[in-house]
Order: sequence, then C-alpha cells, then structure tokens
Amino acid sequence: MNHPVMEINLDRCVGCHTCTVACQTEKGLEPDVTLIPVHTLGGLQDVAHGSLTAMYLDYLPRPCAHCHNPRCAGACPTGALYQRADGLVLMDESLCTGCRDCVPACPFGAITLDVDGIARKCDLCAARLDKGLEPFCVICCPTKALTTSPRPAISQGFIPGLDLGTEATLNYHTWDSGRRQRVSAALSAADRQVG
Amino acid sequence: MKTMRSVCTPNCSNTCGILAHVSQGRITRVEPAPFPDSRYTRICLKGLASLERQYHPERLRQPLRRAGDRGSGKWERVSWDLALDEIAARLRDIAARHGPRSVAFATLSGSYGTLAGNAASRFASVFGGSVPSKATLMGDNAGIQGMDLAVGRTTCHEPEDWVNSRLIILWSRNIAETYINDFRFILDARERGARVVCIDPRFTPTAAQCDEWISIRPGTDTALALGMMRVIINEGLYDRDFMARHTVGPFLVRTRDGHFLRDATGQPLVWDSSAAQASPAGAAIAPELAGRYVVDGVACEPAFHKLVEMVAAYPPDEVAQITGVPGETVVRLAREYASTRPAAIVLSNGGQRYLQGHQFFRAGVTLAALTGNLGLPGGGASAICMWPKTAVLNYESLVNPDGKRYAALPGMKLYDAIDRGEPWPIRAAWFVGFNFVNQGANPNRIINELFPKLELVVVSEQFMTATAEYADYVLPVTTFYESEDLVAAFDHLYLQLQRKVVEPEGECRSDIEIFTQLAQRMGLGEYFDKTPEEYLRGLLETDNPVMAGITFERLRVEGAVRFSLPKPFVPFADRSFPTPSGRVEFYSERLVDIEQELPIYSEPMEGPASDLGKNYPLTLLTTHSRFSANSQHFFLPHVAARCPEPLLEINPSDAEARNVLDGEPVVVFNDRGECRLKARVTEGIRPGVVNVYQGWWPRDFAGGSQNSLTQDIVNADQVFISEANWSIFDCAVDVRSDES
Repeated sequence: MNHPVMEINLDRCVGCHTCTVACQTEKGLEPDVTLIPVHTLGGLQDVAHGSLTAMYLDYLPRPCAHCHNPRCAGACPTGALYQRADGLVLMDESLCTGCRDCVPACPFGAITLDVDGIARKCDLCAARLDKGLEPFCVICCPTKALTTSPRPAISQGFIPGLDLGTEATLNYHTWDSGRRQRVSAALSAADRQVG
Repeated sequence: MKTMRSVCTPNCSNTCGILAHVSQGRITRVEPAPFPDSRYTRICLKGLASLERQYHPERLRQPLRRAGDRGSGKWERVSWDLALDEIAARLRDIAARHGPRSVAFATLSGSYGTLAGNAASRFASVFGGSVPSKATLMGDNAGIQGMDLAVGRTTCHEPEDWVNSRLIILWSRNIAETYINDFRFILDARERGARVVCIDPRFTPTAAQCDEWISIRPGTDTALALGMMRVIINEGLYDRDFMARHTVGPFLVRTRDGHFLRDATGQPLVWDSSAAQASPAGAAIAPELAGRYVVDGVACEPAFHKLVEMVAAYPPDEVAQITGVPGETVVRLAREYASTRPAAIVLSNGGQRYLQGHQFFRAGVTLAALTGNLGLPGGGASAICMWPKTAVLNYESLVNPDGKRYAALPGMKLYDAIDRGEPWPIRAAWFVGFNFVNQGANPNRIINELFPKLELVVVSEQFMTATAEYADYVLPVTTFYESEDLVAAFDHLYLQLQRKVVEPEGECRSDIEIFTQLAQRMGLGEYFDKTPEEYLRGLLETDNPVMAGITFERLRVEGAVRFSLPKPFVPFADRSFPTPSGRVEFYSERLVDIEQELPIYSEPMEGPASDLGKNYPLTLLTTHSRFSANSQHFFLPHVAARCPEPLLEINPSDAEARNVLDGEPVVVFNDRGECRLKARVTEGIRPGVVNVYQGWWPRDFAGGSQNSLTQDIVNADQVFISEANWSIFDCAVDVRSDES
C-alpha cells in the first residue's frame, strides 16, 4: 500500500477544531457532520483532569484510519465504500443507499451520515492528493499537528486499535509517555463496543 | 472563477491572509493566502467561517431607523439618503447646542483595516468631535503603559524568534486560544529543546502543551515577579553589567524625595567607585549598584538598591501566601530563568486586566533586565506588539487632513463624560466596529445610565448586536471581502493589502464611503475628496526607514510585504531604549508622586481580602476563546456546532460547596449584575476562580450576561501616568444553583 498516511502529533493539537471545520468547508458539509471530529480525552470538551501538580488535557482528532483491512468496505452491500489501488478507502456517494451497515462496522466510529442520510467519511482528500496537494485539514491546522508525511523529530508513532485487526494506517505521535498511555488505553479494544 | 486575496481583520491579532475563490460574483471557498515565509500562510476555524458571516441571513443589509423606544427591537428600513440626511441634521443641531466635541466617534476593534478603523476619526477631526482611545477600552493599555514606562515603547519579539529561546515563560498568555496561529512557534521551540512554562489560573489548551503549568491566583502576577527578583538578586544570579550599563540601576536616588540626584546640567549622577565620587552616568568607570552615599550633603542610594529593598518583602513563603504558587516553585523558576539564556517572557493579555495591571509589565521587563535577556534573540519581555504597527504608516495623512485634530478622550472616561459631563460632556455617540454594550465593562450602567443621556446613538455594524439594539440608526457596513484596505498586524511584521473581492451585500457601504457621504452633507466634503486607493497610497508616504521599499504596487502584486526590519526582529538589540534616560527604567522618577516609582504589588481591588471580596469570594474571569474573536464568531453555524453554549468553569471544591452540579443551571451574581448559564465543573480552574468566555451575546444566556458583572472603575494612578485601563478581571462574584 502506498497511499499517504495521516500523522497526528498529539503534542501539537490544541483542540481548536479548525481541522473539523476545514473538512466541512472543503466538502460542503453541514455543521453537525464531522469527518474529523476532535475529542477531549476523558469526556467533556476542554475539561482537564488530574491534580494541581499533575494535570492533563489531551485532544484527539479522529479521522478515518484508512485501514488495510477495512471493515466498512466489507460491510457495504453496494460497493459504495471501496478500497482504491493505493490503499485509500473511498466512497462513491452515488452508490450509497443509506442502509447504514457501515456505521457500526467501523470500530473507530469514523463513518457518519449527512443530512441526506448518505454515509460520509474522511477520504484523506483523495482528489487533492491526486493533484499533489495536501488534505485541507492539514493545510489549515494552525499548529501543524497534522501531516501526511512524517515530520522530523517526532516520536515513533503508535497506531490505535491494532488489536482490532483492521490494520489501521493512521499514526499518532507523542513524546509524553503518560499521554501515550492515556490515548492508547482510550482507543483499545477493551473500551470499544464493536457492533 | 478567480481568486483574490483579502485579510481576515477581526481582532484576534493573527491577521492571516485569505485567498477567496469567486464565481459569478460570489465567494465559493476560502483558504490561507501565501506569505513569503510559509509559516505565516495560515488560517483558523474563525477565518474559514468568515464565509458564513459574509452571507449570513441575519447580516444587516439596509440602513435602519428605530421605530420604538431604544432596545424595543422595532425598526424601519430607510434609505441611505434619509438616514444620512437625518444624522447630519441631528449632528448639526447637537453641535450647535453643545459643541461638536460633545459627539463621540468611537471606533474599536471590529475591523483592523486601516481605512475601516480610522474613517470615523478622520471625520471627527474635521467635525471637531471627540474620539475615545481604543487600547484603554479594550483592556490593552496596562501593557502599553507598563512597557512605555520601562523601555519607552511597546514592542515585542516576533513569534518566529521564539524558536531561538531555551526557556519561554508564557505569563497570562493563553496563546493556543488567543493567538492561535502563533502557537506553532512555541511548539517549534519545544521541539528544538526549549522548556515552556505556562503561568495561568486555568489549565488551558496552552498549558496542556507546555512543560509546566503554574497555577496562580488572579491579579497576583506582580507579586510572583517580585519574589523571583528577590531570589535572583539574593543568590547573585543577576547580570550586574547589564543592570549597571543599561538600566537606571546605578542612578542615585535622593533619599528624602525619591528623585534622581543630578548635576548642574541636569545629568543624573551615579557613584563611581573607581573615583570614590559621584559622576554623570555616562562618564563613570565603575558605577555602583549598592550602598548609601552622601553627595554634597544629600543622602542618596542607587535605584537598584531601592529595588533590592522593595523585593526583600517578598520571600518565597510570602509569595506563596499571596499567589498560591508554592515557595519552592518560586525559587526554582527564578533560578532556572536566571541561568538559562536566552529566556523569553511573554506577557499579556490576562495580566493587564486588574486595576494595577501596568505594574506587572514593568515587573516583567525588570526581570528581563535583571537577567540580561533584553535585546537578545530568543529573549525579551514581550507584550502586545504595538510598534511598528501603530507607528510607521502615515496615519496623519488619513486622520488629520489639513492638520485638523479631534479631541482625544481617554477611553475609560467615556462613562463619566456621558453621565456627568467629565472631563467634558458627551451627548451623542457613534460606534464603529465597537460592540460596546456586549464587550464593555458594566453594561447595565451603559444601558440604564449612559444611553438615556445620549441624544443620538448611531451604530455602524454588520449584525444586530447588543449595541445596535440600542441605536437610533444602524448603518450596515462592508466586510473585509467588500472593500480595499491596508492591514498591519499586532504579531507578524507584514503589511497586507486587502483587495475588494466581491461587491457589498445588499446596500452595505464601507466606513469611508459613509463618512464621505456624511461629510458632503455637512460642508466638509473637501476633506473627503479622495478615492480609497488615494487614502491608502497616502498611508505609505513616509520616510520612516521601517517602510523602505514598500509600495502600493508591490502590495498589489505580492499581497504581503514585510516591514524593513531584521528577520527575526529583536527589539532593543542595540540596547538603546527610548525612555527619558535612554535606559531601562524599572524606577520611574515621575511616578514618585503616586508612590509607584517601583513596580510595587497591590492586592487586586476586588480580591478576597477586599470588602467586596468578603461578600463575593470568587473572581470572575472572562477570557477569550479560540472559537470567537470577541463577539464575531460564536453564532456562526459551523463554529456554534463546535462550541454551542456559554459555560461557567468552576472548580469541583467551589461547586460542591454551593451544591452546583456539572451541566446544571447556575447564576453568577454580584451587586452589578448577573448571568444565568450552565456550569462546567473542572479541575482545570483553580479554586476561588470562575470563568465565562467573553464574546457571547445576551441571547446565549438564560438571563443576564457575563460582562454585566464587571466594573468600570477608572484607576487614578493610571490616569496620572497617562490613561486608565479597562480592568474587568478584577471582579468579585459568587455563584449559586439556579432554581428558577
């Protein structure tokens, strides 16, 4: 597989949701349709956890992981969701019947429905990539937390949910071992309700 | 389809360039516009949402005249001719009875376009009206005042210089929210090995990405700075050479009256220990920083000695008592700051907003001077960068045609000018890009006491804001996509040309058009006979070397042109300070009369120890959010979905003591007003402090508003220095569950 992968530097994300809005403006999505939502670990947006000397706040952008073994494409009855030759998992909206089988199939919750009931997910801005442009979320991220090619001086990435067997290709990076533990735990199968 | 370059001009300070794609007269998408240095090719969700603002159904598209009482919501659409004819007649009438100075033309920060931001002031100059100062009403003047006192100019290191720092202290500077597009430079510095410390009462998104968070009681920043100075001085960690040569440290202060000892020609004297006598500062070989001397019978001591004596009262335990910062942390941070070079202190804006906020900036500069960090790449004590933005364009050509000048009214005196006629009566007000009722201090006073005394209220706006609700006439103005303008920034050092990308929506007109058409009705048309381009070209006509090589043609072609300054720009690299002494003045002789010659610490006016604080034990902050530049963005649908409602941040211990549960309705209250909203219980705000983001509109609350809790006190000390600053974080409140 030789598609670019999304690398997310968790030590640079400040939870501004610019990526969420950039994606929406690029794709013409309604405000509640988020293909790269930004979660605050622990639950409520912007709420920190811990004690005065050990406080933490972790933001987690969650786009599609473009798995090598995509469950969503496997669940799709019409072939609307498919894997391209370079490995990107894409959607042909004209074939989507709104059956919603893909939504619970994704262990990362990366698929959502738009206002017309059509399944939508991040396509890593394939049309832009094909023109040699970076995804729009990557361009607009104010802190440069998102890249589609590895940046120097970031740690060995970790991939969430490798235990789920979908061979996700989205990499998260952090120098903070506590953050790595917290994020890994949150994304592990143990916390996942796969339906 | 074409692309044209504009500039995002709300007051978030980052002043990003925007490339707009236009098809059939409509903007279809926006993206960041390129800068010569691609690190400034940037945008945020607010800039992306500017398209929603541009075409919003609630955007004002026609002039309105009120058809009921003020605030009743009854409007009739009128033509521009009718509106301007009537306003002209009212202005003539008010000027005839009360003088033109009784009309205040109040522009604030809704748009940073130079034309948009100064058209009303040009009119005021030729009409003879009053213009309230801006920085004071925004709460940014304490920093200006403090920096001007200490180093003679409010300038700062540009963000790209931060990558040169080994230690960065972000002090009341929530950059990841309030200067969001500069935060990448902090992160770049971190990746290069810099340690970043965040001092803030809240654990913000900034704190989340720093190496250390130091929680501090609001308004006590100066005390922490003094405690750090004491450690640095006592442990001999200060840069003696810098203090002796580049500050007023060795200047002899007369013990009896606090003024500098001077020779017959007026030169300040120092004690030259190589000659065992006093001599002019420039001539001394070994200027002393310590000791007590008698010169010609006059007892005196070096100003540095006065600083040492003052900070002696701030040992670590005392600082811990005052600030809530543990004593060990004070010592450790002081040692680290003094032994790391270069180290940068980045201050503001939070620390500005207490009654004596200017002292914090003087203290910050003093720390940088003590450690020799001024004038070094990666060093400095940086606040908001007023210079060069406010100083290098030819503003006179725009604001003072024929040398005419408006009456400059200190901003915080606007309240008493309207209410009591002091310093002079204001009987009418025109607000331009200024949501005064929403954003100003003490809006209940504004609505109930000030506005009833105004015979005329005109509001130039894009939406029916809280201020527009109380107007007699609301005039719909253009956005940054709909007119040409020049834009300078408060952080980066590029001058940009904002192109006219599309025709104005509806009947919207630009600020300069409005005042041109008004001027023509009032016999002042001769002062408004230029095209927008001619005004902009006039702004560029200057010999100032910082503007060398910047022409209108270059701006047209390149979009963004950098000022002629070194890259990175390091203020005071030449160690030349535009103060009266030419040196860093941690000791300000002219403030002896108000006992503020040194950056002393004062308890916050409404802190827990105050009378008010005994009844209202919590401090209310109203910090700025990354979701909205002031009141401009919260309501835009794609932003609202990310941050749907105002919340009161409250610590679990304060919540529990008040039976407040997360997500439940609460009332924040004091004698001035109240605010009804939901609670958000979080460890990320220290006990004794609560926060509601500013910029929400009254309609976003179940009742009241966050600003209605704030005071509009005019600090007489700051007035003595220059002008008083808006100090709304100095705010005592309490919170209870909302049973209603």
